[in-house]
Amino acid sequence: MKPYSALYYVKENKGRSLLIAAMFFLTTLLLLGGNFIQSNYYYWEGIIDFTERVVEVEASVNDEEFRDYYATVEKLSNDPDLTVMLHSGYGEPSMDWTCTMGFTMGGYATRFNTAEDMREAFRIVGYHGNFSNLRNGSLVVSKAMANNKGLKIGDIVDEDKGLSGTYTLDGLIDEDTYAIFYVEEYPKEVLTRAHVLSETLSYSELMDRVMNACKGTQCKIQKSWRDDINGQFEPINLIFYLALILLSLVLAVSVNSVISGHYNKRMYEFGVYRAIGRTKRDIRRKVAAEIMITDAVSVVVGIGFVELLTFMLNELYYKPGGRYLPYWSEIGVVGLIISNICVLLPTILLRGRAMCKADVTEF
Amino acid sequence: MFTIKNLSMIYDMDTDEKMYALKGLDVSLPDRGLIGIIGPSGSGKSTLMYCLSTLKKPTDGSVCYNGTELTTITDAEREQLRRREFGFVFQKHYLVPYMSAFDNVMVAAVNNDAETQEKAKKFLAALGLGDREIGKRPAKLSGGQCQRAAIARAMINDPKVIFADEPTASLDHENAFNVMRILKEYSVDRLVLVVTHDRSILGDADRIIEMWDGEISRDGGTL
Repeated sequence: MKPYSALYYVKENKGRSLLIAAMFFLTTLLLLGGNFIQSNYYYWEGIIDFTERVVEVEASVNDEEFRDYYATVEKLSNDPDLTVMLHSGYGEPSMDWTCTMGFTMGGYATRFNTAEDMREAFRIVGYHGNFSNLRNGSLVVSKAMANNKGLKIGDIVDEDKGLSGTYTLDGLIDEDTYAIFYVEEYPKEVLTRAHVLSETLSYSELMDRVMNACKGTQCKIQKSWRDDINGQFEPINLIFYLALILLSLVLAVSVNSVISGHYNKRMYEFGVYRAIGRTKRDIRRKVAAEIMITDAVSVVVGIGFVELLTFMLNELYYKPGGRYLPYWSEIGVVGLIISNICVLLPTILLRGRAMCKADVTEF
Repeated sequence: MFTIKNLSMIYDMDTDEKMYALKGLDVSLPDRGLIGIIGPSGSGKSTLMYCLSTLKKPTDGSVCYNGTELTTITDAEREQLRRREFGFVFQKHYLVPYMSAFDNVMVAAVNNDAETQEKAKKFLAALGLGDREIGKRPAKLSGGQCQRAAIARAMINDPKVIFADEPTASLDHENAFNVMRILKEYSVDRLVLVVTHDRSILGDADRIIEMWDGEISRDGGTL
């Protein structure tokens, strides 16, 4: 290994390099912070997914004798790619859940008119579990939701849990979703809503078919919840990013002061390098490489630490309570990158410039 | 090798009272031999060496090295010159503390090949640093051993000129004379400039330039 190389320095100065790495390690905690905030979104993912697999068509109150609605339902039912299930759509109270950050959030509920419809819908959507005991008055939630609410199969769920009726928990879905599902039979005359599903079509294709069928009618279509949910999370994400930039600046100042003290002690070393003809470019490269190596190590170790901590928190604390901390998230990763760049770039630029000015004749 | 004309160096240029470190020096230096530059503190001897070695840019005048005007060359040319043709020995050894004596020599080497590594070992051995010592860090070596490693570092690229600024200042008498002996041997076919205020080490000098208050007060004699 060449003695001038950055790797040589790191190898021969493990203690000092560790100190610098520890400072950069702090930036990786932004990944954990981002994941923690993004965890709120996690609870809605299953719901959004459901609203993209099952399009809801609703009769308008202005639709006289629901002529448009029935005509549309007939049209949709004749499409071989679609499955249509009618239901009442009467008040579908959802249950609040406690999210990872500790506060409660409201959710999504939907109703099926028969147990067979619900089983068929779950099959198409891809939900697994034991749904053999479903009947009129059944409530089905995911295992995660049941854990979150402290429910078990056979429990009666009523006003105490925020529901307007009384239902029995008869089925648990293996997949994580915080939507809740009821079986509640009503006479045909009041089935003014329809679930439209497809085993073969994508969401956009499904939506196109439904929109074509509804064209010129008074029927209402319930679109995916994705945009609504994303819109609600935008301010939270914005606050996170602002806090992140502030935190990164504080980190950048702290890291720079620690690292500048460390490099000031090596001033004469760089003065000698300059004297023996190392170019300013060489010096800048050396400083950048040293800092980037320690940063890379700290980021790898830091990400490993965050993932391990997330695993332990999930297994020991969150999952038993029907909650979840994501292992990665968009804002967590972006947060890590932004904060790392905010700290890394000025450090490299400032230290590189300072070391180029080292002059052995002044010692 | 060096032709210096009307060389001046002023510190504190912005103040009313200008401090002349060098005042219009004219001198020529040959391409071989051991030349001592002697004078008390503040006489300008180190500044002269820094101007010759391109570590400092003079305020005025000309420094011509083998036909190249050093005061007008680019930074890159200056760096190349220091890397390939000049070697430095400082008052303190300035070895890098986390490198072994051997690596301290190799850090200055233009090439890092096996041949250069062998050469570094040979230099160190010739300077009295055996296999055991060359693997040690400066903190584990004596002052004399460190300074000898620093000389090996200065010689590793076979420079045409070695600039030695008070190379014996931190050494005892015996080590000081050893260092001077090594420099004298190197000066047989190359130029070695030794800046010092200690007359006693310049017994073998081929020429002594005495400086006083930024000017050459005597040039040409030996002790």
